Amino acid sequence: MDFDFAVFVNAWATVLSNPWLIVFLFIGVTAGISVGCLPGLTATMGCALLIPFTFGRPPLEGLFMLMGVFAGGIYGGSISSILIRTPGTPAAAATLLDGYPMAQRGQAGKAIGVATVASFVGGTIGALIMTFLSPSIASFGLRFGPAEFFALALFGMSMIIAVSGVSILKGIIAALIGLLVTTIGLDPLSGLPRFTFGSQNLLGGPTFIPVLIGLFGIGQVLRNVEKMEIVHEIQTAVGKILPSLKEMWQVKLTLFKSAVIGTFVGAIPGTGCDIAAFASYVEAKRASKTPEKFGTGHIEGVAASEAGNNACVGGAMIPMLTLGIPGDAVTAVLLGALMVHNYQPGPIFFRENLDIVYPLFAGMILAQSVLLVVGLSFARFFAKLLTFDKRIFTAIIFLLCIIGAYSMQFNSFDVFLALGVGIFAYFLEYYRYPLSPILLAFILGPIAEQNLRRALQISHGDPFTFIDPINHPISLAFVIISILALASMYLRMRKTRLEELKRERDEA
Amino acid sequence: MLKKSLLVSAATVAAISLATSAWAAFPEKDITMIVPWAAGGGTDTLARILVKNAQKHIGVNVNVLNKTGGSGSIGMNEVARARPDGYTVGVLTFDLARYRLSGLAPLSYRDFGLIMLLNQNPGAITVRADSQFQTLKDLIEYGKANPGVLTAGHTGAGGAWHLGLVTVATQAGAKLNYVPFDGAAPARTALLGGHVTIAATGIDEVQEFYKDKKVRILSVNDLKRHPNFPDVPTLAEAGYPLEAPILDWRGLGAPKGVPADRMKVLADGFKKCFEDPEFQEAAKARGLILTWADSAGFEKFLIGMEKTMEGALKAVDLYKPVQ
Amino acid sequence: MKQADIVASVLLVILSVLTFMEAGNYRNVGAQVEYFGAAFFPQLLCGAIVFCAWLQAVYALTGRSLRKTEHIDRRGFRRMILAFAIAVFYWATIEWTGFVLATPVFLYVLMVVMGAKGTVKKVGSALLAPALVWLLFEKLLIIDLPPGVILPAVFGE
Repeated sequence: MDFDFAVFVNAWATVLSNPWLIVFLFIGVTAGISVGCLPGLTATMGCALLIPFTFGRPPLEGLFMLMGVFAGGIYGGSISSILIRTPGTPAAAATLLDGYPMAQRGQAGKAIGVATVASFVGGTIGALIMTFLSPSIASFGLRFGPAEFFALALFGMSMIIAVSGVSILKGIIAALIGLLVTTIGLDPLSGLPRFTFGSQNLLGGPTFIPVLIGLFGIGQVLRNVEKMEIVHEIQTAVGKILPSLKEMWQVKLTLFKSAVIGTFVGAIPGTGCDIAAFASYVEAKRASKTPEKFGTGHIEGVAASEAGNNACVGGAMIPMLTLGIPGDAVTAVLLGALMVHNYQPGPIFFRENLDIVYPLFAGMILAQSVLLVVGLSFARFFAKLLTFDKRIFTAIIFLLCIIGAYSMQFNSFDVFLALGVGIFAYFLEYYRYPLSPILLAFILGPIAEQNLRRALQISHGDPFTFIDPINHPISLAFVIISILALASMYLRMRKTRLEELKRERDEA
Repeated sequence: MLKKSLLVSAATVAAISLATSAWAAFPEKDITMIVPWAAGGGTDTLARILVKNAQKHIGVNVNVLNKTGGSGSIGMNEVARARPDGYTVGVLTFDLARYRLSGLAPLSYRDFGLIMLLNQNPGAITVRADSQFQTLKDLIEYGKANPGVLTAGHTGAGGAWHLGLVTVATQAGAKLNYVPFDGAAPARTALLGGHVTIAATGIDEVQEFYKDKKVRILSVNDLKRHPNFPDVPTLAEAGYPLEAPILDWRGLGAPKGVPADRMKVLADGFKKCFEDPEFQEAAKARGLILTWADSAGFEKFLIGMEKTMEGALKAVDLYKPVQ
Repeated sequence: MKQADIVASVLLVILSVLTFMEAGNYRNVGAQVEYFGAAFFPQLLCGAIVFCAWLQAVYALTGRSLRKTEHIDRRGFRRMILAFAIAVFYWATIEWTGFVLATPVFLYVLMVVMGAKGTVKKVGSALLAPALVWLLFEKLLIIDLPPGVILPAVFGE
C-alpha cells in the first residue's frame, strides 16, 4: 500500500475548499484547550461529550472537530501543569517537572509559549510521520507482545526513577508503593477482587485522575497553604509569551527527537500520550550536556515533553486507522465516531476509504496550525491568572481540584480519595520521596502486571523469556537500557552524595 | 412565621403539582444510557447506533455514557442504583449472568427492570492466516498430543469467549495454555503479532481481518452459520458438537421500580429504535446478530443463561456463588 | 532524616507483611486457567518493598540519610490542617447542603483562613467562581453537581 500523492493533494484541496471544516477544527481545538486545562476533564471526555453534535453533520466535519479536541486537549493540559502544578490531563504530567519551576521564577508566559510552539512542532512532525509512514509503523506496533510490554513498563519505571529525586532507593520505594496501589480492585485477568475489603467503590480500583489530582494538585495546594507567607512574595510577572527564535533553535534536536519518540510510543496500542511525554523528557535529559538543569525550570524539559505528547496524537491514530485498534482512550472514542458514520476502521478501511483517510491526515496537520494560533492568543490570558491574589487563587484551585476529582465518575468517594492522596503526597515531598515514580507506576502498573503474568504464562514460567535475544530482541534491548540507566545514575548520585556527606562532616 | 411556613407549603404544593404534570408527559428531558464497557467496543457501538435516531422514536435524545471497570459491574451497578424515574437506562451484557455465580458482586438480572434483549453473538476460534492449522480438528489434535503448548488469547477468565473455548477443548480432551487479555481488541492484536496461536473472541470482532485474509476462522461457536461468514463451519460441522454453545448477549434494562407507564414508553420507544432500518443495516454491516425479545422473553432467557453459566463456571473452577 | 527513614522502613515492612498475607487468600483458580494468579504480582512487590525498606534502614543506621531541605512552619502547618479539614467537611456534607449553597461558604472560609484581604474581593470571588463552575458543568458539559436536599425542597426540582 504505497502513498498516493495525487490523492493526497486532492484531499488537501477538499479540506481547504470547505470553510466549515476549518470552523469545526477551530471549535474543536478551542473546546479541547478549555477542557484540557481543567484538571479532571480530559480530552477523552471532551470528545465523548461532543460526539452527539457531530451526528447530523457530514462525517469529516465531526471527525475534524474531534481531532481538534484531541490535539487541543493534550496541549491544554500543559497550561495547568505550568500554572498550578496540576496536569490538566495525564499527558501533561511530565510538563510540570520544568514548567512549574519556570512559572515560579516568573516565566509563566514563556513556559506556556514554549509549550505551545513545542506542541505545534511536535504535533506537526507526528502528523507528517502518520501521513507518510502509517502502514509500516503499524506493523512495528504489532511486534509488541506481552514480554515487550512488560520490558517497556520496566524501562519506563527505571527511567523515571533515574531522572527524579536525589535517591534511587527512595524513587524505587515510591514506585513500588504506586505499583502496589494499582493492584487494588478487580484483577482484570482472573476477575477476582483484590484488597477491596468488600467495598463497591474499590472494585474498579483507585481511579487515575483523582489520584493524579491528589498527588500533584491538592498536594501543592496544601503546601501553598502552609507556606502562604513565602508563596505570596514570589514575583509573578507575565513576562514575554513568545520564546525567542534562538531559544527554540537551541532545542531543535530535542524537539525533533521527542516528536519521533512520541509518534512511535503513540503507535504502540495500549500506551498513551502520558508515556510518550515521559519517554521524550527522559531521553532529552539523558542526552543533555547539562542534565542537572532539568527539573529546575529548563526550557528544554518543557519543549521535550510537549513535543512528545502532541506527536503522540498523530501516532495514536496510526493503529486506530490501519488496524482498528485504538492506541489510547481518545482514539477509542474517535473509533466510535467513525463507526457511527458507518465506517469500520481496519486494514480494509485504510485501503478502500482513502477519500476519508487522506483528508483526516490533512486535518491532523492543519489542526496543529490552528493549535498554534489559538494557543498563542490564549497564552497571555492564562499567564495573567497567576498575578491574581494567591490567597484567593489558591482557594479557587482547591475547589477546581475537588470538582475535577468528582467529575470523572460523579463519585464522592473519588473526592475523598484525592484529598487523602493529597495529604499523603504533602508528607512524601517533605520527606523527599519523589512523586513522579508514583505517577508513572500508576500509568504503567496495569501494563506491567498483566503483561508480566501473560508473558510468564506463555513461556511456562521461564523468566528468561524477557532477555531472549532470538524471540524477544526488543524486550532484551529495553532490559539492557534500563539496567544501564539505573547503574549510571546510581554512580553519579553516589558521587554527589559522598561529596555532600564529606562537606557535612567538615562542617561538624 | 406563619406566613413563612404558608409560603413554604405553597411552594411544596407547587413543586408537587409540577412533578405530577411531569408524570403525564414522560419523557420531558434527555435520557441517559449507561454503557458498562469502553467507548469504541462492541457494546458501545451497539448502544450508539441504537440511539442515533432516538429523537425521532422516543421524542428526546438518549445520551450514551461510558462507565467502565470491574468487568462491567461498575456501570451495571450504577444503573441498578439509579433513581427509578425512567431517565436512566443501561446496557446489560453477558457478564451480568456471572457476577453472582463467580463471587464478584451480588448483582443479577433480578436487580433490574428488564426492557428488551437486543443482540446475541456467537464466538469464534481464530488463528493467523499463515498458521499450520487448517481446521479445528488439526488444532484440537495437536493440542491433545502436546498438552499446554498452544497458547490461546481470550478476553478474561469466566468471560463468554474463555468459557466457550474451554468447553470445546475440555470436551475433546485437549489442554491449551489460556492467556487472558483485557478485551477482544488486545487479544486480536496479540494474535496478529504472533504472540498467541489462537484467539477466542466474538466473531464480529475479527470480521475486518477475516475480510483482509489476515486470519483464518476455524469455527463459529453456534448451531448455525453466521450470514457474514458463510464459509466458516459451525462447531458441529467442524466435528465438535455442543448442545448449548455460549453466546454473548446484550440487552437494555432500567433500575427496578420505574413506574409501569414509563417502562412502556421506554419499551415502545426503544423497540422503534430497534426496528429502524438504519439501525438494522448498521448492525448487520458490523456482524452484530440482532435478536429481539420483550421484557418477559428477556427474563426467561436470563433464567436459562444462569443455568448454563453455572455448569460452564463449574467446569473451569470459577464457580463460587455469592450467598 | 535518620529517624524518619527508620520509621518509614518499619511501617513499610508492616504494610508489606500484611499485604502479603491478605494476597495469600486469593486462591489460584483452576490450573487450567492460569499459573500466575491474582496473588503473584502483589506478593512479588511486597518482597521487593521489604528488601528496599531494609536497605533504607541500614543506610539510615550508618548515617547516610538525606538531609531535610525544608522546614515546616508551625503556624503554616496548623493552617494547612485546618484547610484540609474544611475541605473534607465541605464535601462530606455536600449531599445535604448542595453545591450551590455550600461552595461560596467553603471558598469564603478558606480565603479567611489564608488571610486574604478585602471583603468585597473575597465575597465577589467566592460567588463568581462557583457560578462559573456551575455554568460550565451543568449547562455546557451537562454534568450534574450535587444538588443537595435544601434547595430542591424549597424550589422543587
